[in-house]
Amino acid sequence: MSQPTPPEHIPDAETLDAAKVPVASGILPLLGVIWALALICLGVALIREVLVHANAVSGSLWVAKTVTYLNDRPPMDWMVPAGVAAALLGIALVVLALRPRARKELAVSARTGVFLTTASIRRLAESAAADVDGVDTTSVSASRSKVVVDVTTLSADSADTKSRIERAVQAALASLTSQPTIKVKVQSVGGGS
Amino acid sequence: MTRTTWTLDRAATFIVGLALIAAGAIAFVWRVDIWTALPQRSDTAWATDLIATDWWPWAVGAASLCSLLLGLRWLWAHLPGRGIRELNLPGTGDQGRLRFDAKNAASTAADVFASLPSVRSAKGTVKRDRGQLVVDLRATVDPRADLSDLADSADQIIADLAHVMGRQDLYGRVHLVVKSGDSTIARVR
Repeated sequence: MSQPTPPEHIPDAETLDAAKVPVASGILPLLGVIWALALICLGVALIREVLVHANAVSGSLWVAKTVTYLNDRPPMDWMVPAGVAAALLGIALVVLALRPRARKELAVSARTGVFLTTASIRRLAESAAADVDGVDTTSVSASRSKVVVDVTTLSADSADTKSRIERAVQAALASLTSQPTIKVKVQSVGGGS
Repeated sequence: MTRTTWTLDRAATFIVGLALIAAGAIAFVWRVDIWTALPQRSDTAWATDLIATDWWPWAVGAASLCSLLLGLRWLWAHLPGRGIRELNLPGTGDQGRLRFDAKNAASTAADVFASLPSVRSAKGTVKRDRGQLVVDLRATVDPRADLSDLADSADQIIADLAHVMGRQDLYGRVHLVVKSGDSTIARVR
């Protein structure tokens, strides 16, 4: 496929308004799928029950059997740990259901919506730090509010290297609308920081 | 996924959570015997009477169909979005419909974005997200890319697309996914 040539741009054209900030999907859709599958299994079991009632299928009636089994039973010892476990699981599910969806991306300064994930911010910072003269290895962790750059340097003047790394990472992330705090930790290969 | 599916997932998770809390609490309280109102032994006679009624198999039949259909529809709603293929253009009315191939327009915008030096690849779709009609570009970019330049280019390309589409209710979103390795820019070590 040939590369398309960029068309001539329309001068001063109005761009589109930014869409809502993307949010992480989290575990809720997976739970939704589990509930849906459980509902389908229940449906199939109940269809079997109807077919057994109609004598179309041979076998026992599961609902009747369960009701008979559960009748006239005393409380059991296992109900204490099982009850606690069920309640804890229930609390976890209620918390998941009420928690707002996490925002995992940061906006870049633009007229329309341009967004970066924290993983992308980490790679940008890592690349910027790695390009600084004297840097040997880099390791970066990034969240929406903070970027921590851990480097080892071959240079004896680690304070100078540190300030150059700070400037480089700041420049790489300058276009973000909300600037994360940048923290640089420098360790000379020969030891000391 | 639509907002309705999100709400349904949330509501179902909340209800299952409450049911588990209630069941767990009753099981615990029953065994440690701190609520004297609870009987010493279980009694399911009422359920035995219920399943002996004439209408029980009909009720089970109706419930089975409802569960199966609702479950399948719910599962279907979780399939990944296929995006919107066509959109109506302004001027659509009784005289006829003006349709626009939105999917191809978004793909073309993505191809133009992908032709930028620091962009490795890009994909474009039009989809509904939380009540908005969104032109969504997802681009893989080089870790040495200039964010400001990319943002300017994104603005321009989305502006061109907005001009071509002519719809006022569209929103734009460009995801920049920075990938390390295989840098297109030469680096001297």
